[in-house]
Amino acid sequence: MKLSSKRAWLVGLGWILCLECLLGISCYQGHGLSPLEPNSGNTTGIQGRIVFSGHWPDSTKEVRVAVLKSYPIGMTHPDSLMAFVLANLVAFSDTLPRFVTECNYRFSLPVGSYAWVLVAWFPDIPLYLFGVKELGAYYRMGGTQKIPSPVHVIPGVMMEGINISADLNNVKRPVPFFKTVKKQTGK
Amino acid sequence: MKTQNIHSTPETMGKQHIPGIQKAGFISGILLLCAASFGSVPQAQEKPEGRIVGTVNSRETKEPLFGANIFIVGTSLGTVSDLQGRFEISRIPQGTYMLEISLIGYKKGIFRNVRISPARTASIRADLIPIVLHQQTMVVTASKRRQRLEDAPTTVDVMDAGAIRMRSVTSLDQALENAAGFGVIDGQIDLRGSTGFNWAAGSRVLMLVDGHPLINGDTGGINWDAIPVEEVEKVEIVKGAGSALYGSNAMAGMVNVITRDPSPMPETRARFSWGFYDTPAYASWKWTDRFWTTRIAKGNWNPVHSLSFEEVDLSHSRKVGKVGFSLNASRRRSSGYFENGDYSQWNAGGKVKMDWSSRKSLSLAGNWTFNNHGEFLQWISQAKPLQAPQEELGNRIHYEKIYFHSTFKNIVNSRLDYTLKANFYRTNWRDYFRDNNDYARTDRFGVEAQFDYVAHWWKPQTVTFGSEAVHHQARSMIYGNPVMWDAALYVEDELKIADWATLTAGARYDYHRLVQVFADQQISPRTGLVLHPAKATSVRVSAGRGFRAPSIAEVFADITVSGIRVVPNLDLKKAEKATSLELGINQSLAFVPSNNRDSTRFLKNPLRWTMNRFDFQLFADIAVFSSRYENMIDVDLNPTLMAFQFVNLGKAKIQGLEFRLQGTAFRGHVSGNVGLTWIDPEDVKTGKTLNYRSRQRTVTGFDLKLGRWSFGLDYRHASRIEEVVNLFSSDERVPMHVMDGRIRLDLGSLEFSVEGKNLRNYQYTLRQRYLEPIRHFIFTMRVKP
Repeated sequence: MKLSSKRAWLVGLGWILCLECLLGISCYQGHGLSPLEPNSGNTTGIQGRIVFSGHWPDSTKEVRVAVLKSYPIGMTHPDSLMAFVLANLVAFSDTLPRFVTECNYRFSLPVGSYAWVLVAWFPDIPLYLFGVKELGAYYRMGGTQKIPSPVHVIPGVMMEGINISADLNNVKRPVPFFKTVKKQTGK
Repeated sequence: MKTQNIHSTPETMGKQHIPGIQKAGFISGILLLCAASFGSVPQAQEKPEGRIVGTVNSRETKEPLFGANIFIVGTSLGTVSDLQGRFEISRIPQGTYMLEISLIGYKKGIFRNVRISPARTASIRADLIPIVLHQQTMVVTASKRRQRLEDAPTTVDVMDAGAIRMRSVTSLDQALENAAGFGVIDGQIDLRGSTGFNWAAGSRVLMLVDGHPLINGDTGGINWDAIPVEEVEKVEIVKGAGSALYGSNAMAGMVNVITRDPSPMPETRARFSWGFYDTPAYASWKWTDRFWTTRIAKGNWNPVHSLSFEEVDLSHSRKVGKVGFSLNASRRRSSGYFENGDYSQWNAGGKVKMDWSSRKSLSLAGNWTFNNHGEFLQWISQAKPLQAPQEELGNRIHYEKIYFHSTFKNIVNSRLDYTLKANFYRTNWRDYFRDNNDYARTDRFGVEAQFDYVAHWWKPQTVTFGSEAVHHQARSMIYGNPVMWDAALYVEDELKIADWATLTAGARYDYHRLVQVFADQQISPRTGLVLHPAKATSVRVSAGRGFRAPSIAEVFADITVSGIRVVPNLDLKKAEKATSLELGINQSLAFVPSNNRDSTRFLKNPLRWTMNRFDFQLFADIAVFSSRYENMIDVDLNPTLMAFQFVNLGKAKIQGLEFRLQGTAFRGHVSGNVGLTWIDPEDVKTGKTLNYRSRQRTVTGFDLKLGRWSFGLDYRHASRIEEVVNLFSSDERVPMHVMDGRIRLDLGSLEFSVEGKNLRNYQYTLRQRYLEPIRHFIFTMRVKP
């Protein structure tokens, strides 16, 4: 089978186009993963004000807002909390200003319900994820409820008023979030 | 001296005779083996000997064929044709033999009743018929010795150099992803769902280069960048338990990369590649203005400083006297498609092969690789999947790999040959992270002696036996300085029950010791039955047991990266084990037109026109398989320590079905393949799907050759990974849909190609928070002899 170069090109491209169409039609699944706020710019998410109380520890590395899908109701043992947090963590915000008494925050989230929106404090040590402490969470009624209030993010809306009171004294005491890591010296 | 002339095409057939070799006991074989080991001891048998000489030519072009395998059936004697198509096999005991001549792309030539005596030299002239049949393929990995693909007791998939090079890959795993049931997650092989992904700390598939293990001494993982892609001759993928011959790590199969032997004629090859990354699918994902397509949109066509990659490979090969050598070097650089994803790599290696005679050869090979790359562990968020957290920017790893291996092969006589192997593999890496400067240097040294003995007790059979010893030593900040070693003995017998039935049975004993921690021993049996109920039909049944001992990393790793901490587990003392079963059947079909010069017009008689021109060859294979794992080692969260550890998780089972179809038509102008794999991977205790497994995987490939042009398309699909380790496990996951396309122009010694990878710019992850490559294009120029 000998064809001229021009004809070879045409036949080859035709072949590829046909296959592409066949495969494309049969298997088309969009582009796969997408940004969390498709077609809505940065207008889907939460924003609010954080008021810090207490003294900022010198060991503060950074502070972020963390959003989790669920809240560990009845889960008091710190051993199981770690697994819970890792499984339910949706996102951290960008770093918030440190050593201030209050600040505003705003960040994008996918549409959905989030049971636990909190301020997370990161120590200035390498094990930053495991040394994280909760400073405070979002309570719609200002902290009178037993568990944090859920936040419902709807398309195209930046949910306002997700305000959080952050107590820096929580850094000093064990809180039901992350336990302090002990150095493993097994070998 | 008289000469017996046989000039024949492969259709020359007669009744098969068992070679005239005296029956002998196994003890005499052992004695012979000992004699062979000391080299200078005279032959155990004083039997008259003769020789065969001949030539191998193409029946179509009449040109001599180089590299054809000539093999005397029922013995260990064989050779390869030279550049003039000539061959000679000497010192053949007197008798009547069957001779097989095979070469990829040609129908096998079989010569029966070849009489050998001291008084005459048998002369053979073989005119091989060009044809592409899958069953012509010879493989060396499944039974640790050369055999026909259809005689292998387990599934073997072969990817040759042509299939690898046409895909313009920079790393071998990128080509192997197109094999059926073959997944790669972050460099780790997932063969039929065996491994999934365990953060590069232990592979259930053994990686080999020229039959020598190439796995890290510490993690048991695979460094794909240490394999020079341009030097690969072919890759054999063996699926199913392989521990009976290969020991730990081969519990789910082996991948053997066979590199090219030095060329007898001076030969220089070069490859120059340049490519660029296209803009991400979403504008908000663009983290830099360095995407070339973005620049072009702004009128700036200068590709310098764009997100691009390039590669240069050079190699030279020649033979001086009986010594052939090849040298190769390569340089790769990439800016990466995400932040901190750049790398710079150097690679150099060589191979020397000395053929003292057609019976004795020694090969030495080595390779050095240095890679300086940025580290990208996880993205910031799904809104910024190509950006690394601020605190990880600038983190780098320097990684050096060196390996040497040597193989000495000696065919002692028509019944016995032996192979002595030695290999050394050093990996040496250091982190240049903001929060640590961890390092590890690990040496793996192994030796092996393997013997193949062809016997005729009751029925013709080949006994493969040998021993192997491996020593691992790590010096590391994260492992300490552990020492590990293994010693093993193995034996396997392949018994030819009848012309249409072959039975294989064998076992391997392994003693494994991690100094001051634990010692363990394992016996890994395997048995298989291969039947040929009809011409070009093969049925195989195999059952085997495999194991994998915990790696140094799994026991000792004490590391924290990006806040994720892994701690040692000195109680991890149990090897994981697997019992595997497989039933498979394959069939080759070929249709050759009766008259392709027929002058019938298509419109006048379309059926006749088609039948007189259309030819095809098909190879279909279907396999059902089941593996049951005990003490499976996987990473798990230790809530008490709030860190991850490698632990024995319990029992798991993976069962499934695989279908492969490969074919060519129109004299090889059209070719294609389809591979479908379904698995059911289940944790027996919890009933959940095992982590990082896709239940369904599909690969397809089509190629069309038209004159100097060729066009190709690959498509890969894997269903959504259902379960992952409990870290960011609620992140969105999607199935994989990847399509690659290519166009190539072959001008003889020059070849140009353009390839588009991930043409649909489909965005997906295989492990948490790591976006797989976005659409990119590669331009390649290849200089070949």
